Amino acid sequence: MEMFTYALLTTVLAMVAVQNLYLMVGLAAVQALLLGAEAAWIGWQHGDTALYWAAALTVAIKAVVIPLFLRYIIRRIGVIHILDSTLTVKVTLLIAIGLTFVAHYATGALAEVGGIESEALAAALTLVLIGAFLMVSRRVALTQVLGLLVMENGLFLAALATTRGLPLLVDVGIFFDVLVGALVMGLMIYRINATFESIDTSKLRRLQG
Amino acid sequence: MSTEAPVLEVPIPAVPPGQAVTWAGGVWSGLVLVLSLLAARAVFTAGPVRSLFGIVYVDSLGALMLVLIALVGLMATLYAGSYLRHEQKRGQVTALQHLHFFGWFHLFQITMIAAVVVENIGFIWVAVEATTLVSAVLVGFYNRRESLEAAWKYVILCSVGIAFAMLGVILLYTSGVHAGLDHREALNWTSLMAIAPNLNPAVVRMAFALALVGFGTKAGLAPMHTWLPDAHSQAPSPVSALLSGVLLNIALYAALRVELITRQASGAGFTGNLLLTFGLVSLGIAALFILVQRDLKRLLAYSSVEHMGLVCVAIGLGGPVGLSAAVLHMVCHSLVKPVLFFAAGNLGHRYHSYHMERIRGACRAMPLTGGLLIAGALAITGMPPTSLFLSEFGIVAAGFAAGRAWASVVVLLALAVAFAGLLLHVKEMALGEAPHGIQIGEGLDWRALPLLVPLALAVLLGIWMPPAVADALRQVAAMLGGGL
Repeated sequence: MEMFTYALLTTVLAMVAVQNLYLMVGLAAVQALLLGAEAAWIGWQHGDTALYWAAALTVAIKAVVIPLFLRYIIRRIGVIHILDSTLTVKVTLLIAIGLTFVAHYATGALAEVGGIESEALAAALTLVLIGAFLMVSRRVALTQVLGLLVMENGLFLAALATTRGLPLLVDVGIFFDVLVGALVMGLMIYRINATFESIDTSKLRRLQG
Repeated sequence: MSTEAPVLEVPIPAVPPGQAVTWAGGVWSGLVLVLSLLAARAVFTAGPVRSLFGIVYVDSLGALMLVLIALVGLMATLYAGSYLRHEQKRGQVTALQHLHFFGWFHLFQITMIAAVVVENIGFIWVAVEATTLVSAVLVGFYNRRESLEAAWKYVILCSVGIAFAMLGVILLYTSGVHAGLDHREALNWTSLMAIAPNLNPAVVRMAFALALVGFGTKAGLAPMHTWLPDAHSQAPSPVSALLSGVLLNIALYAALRVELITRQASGAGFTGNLLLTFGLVSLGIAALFILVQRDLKRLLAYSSVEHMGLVCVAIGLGGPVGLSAAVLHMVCHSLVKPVLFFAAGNLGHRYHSYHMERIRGACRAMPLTGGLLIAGALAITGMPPTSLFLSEFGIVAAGFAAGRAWASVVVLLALAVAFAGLLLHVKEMALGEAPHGIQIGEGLDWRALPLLVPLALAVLLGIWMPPAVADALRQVAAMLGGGL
């Protein structure tokens, strides 16, 4: 259990550090794989078959279908390196580590008032915060989709950590949204690239006021 | 489509595909409206309806939303028919795009309906996120730089916002399970309401704060509203009408479900103050931005931010007066704002621009549209005899009743600024001479219906409210007061 949590944290910090889009997608896939494994493990411990389904869906959608689709988009638009990050890698990593601490203390506070205690919840909140941070700190549109995926992974982990996951039907609905969302955003990136000849979102600033 | 092409050999279909789609869409939307009204009648006479293994659940608040979605949906479908036909004739939209548009348009309506006919808060979340994904495609429909930018900002910001709302949903679920609810029903709204006093108040308060920020992003509450003027102005006008007229209400609806639980669990103070704060900030910011707008559709979008702020203020102040005013205000805004977007769409087609300084002499060039623009603007700024006057009066009165006169004063000031700004802009556009080269004249046919019907309803509700409607609104207000 703890091993999974630390491995998850490693993948998200690595995502913050790398500059290659293929590598980022690969790390997101590994993260989803770990998440699936953790769900299956908890399911096995508690004899909860619904979690097997959730684990299978996590792996199928977040570790296979979406990464393959994002790789396809990267190949089509031909942008592989993120060279235009607004912050240097060192600063981004420092901020990400800072967010890890913030998440840890926030969960501590939650444990005090709510009696919800869990190491995994701290990791989940870390994923959500770093995912949001990835979305605002990187300008390449594709990293924003990846940031959103990291946030979703964090939410899944949060539910897993607090209550052994949401009801399966709700999870299925969320997976459906994630899948459709990735498809819609991917196609939008494709169109943005065709129209702006770039996927640098800092160029999206015509609308103001 | 092929009506103007001098084709000799190729057989011309009796009904052009665009028209067939319009008809099919109109019939479908009409059917949805009839079914929604029947469902609403059942709910308002005999209480909440549950079906489909308990997944579908419609109570009075849901029924009201359902009717609004269906009514505005039908009007927008009718308007979209003439709107797109015009663009297709001018070659801005291909027949295939026309078909795509209607597919996504109706899918958008279905996702909105899905959000209000379930009680599981997880399902509500799923449906609300689905509305974002589907409507983002419609916002980017024109494939221009501006519309792609707007669609991208919309889908990214709202998805991030709603991810935080999910965190709130998970906390709610956790507290439900801790309070002894079964895993399967710990997200059901009725179950959570029933055991609300046993929920951990601190956790539920946190859940509400996250849900309000998350769904509030989608409801256009300031300071998370920045995507809204872009998306609502870049979308095709029939879509803008749905986005502003009903989708904002639905986002608020989702936050209100959590608010009701939180109020039961930890008292009205926390939720009321939070709603009041977000509401007043939205109101103030929107009023200022209304003053300085140059684009007609952005002006209307900021007006929507203002009105969502007003609804939040009304609910935050609470009390019977505040809650009835909130319900009435949601209804009236849903009726009037689409009319304004339809009028804006007509003007945009005639003047080839939404820049307000290029739109001059609208009453001369398009007497009907220009007249309705003025009437709609008077209605949306709360002039009697429209029903928005009643609801805004109620909101101000609720502030005094709740012993928060300062809130009423802020509301009045913001309303005055928004009133002056909006009417000044509209006066400049509507009166005077039309620029040289603008076609003069406008026919009166069925295409005026989507503009006339909702506005007439809004005025009717202000003068004489049918007893059935009054009873329905009373039931919804009672539900917002904490009843089931």
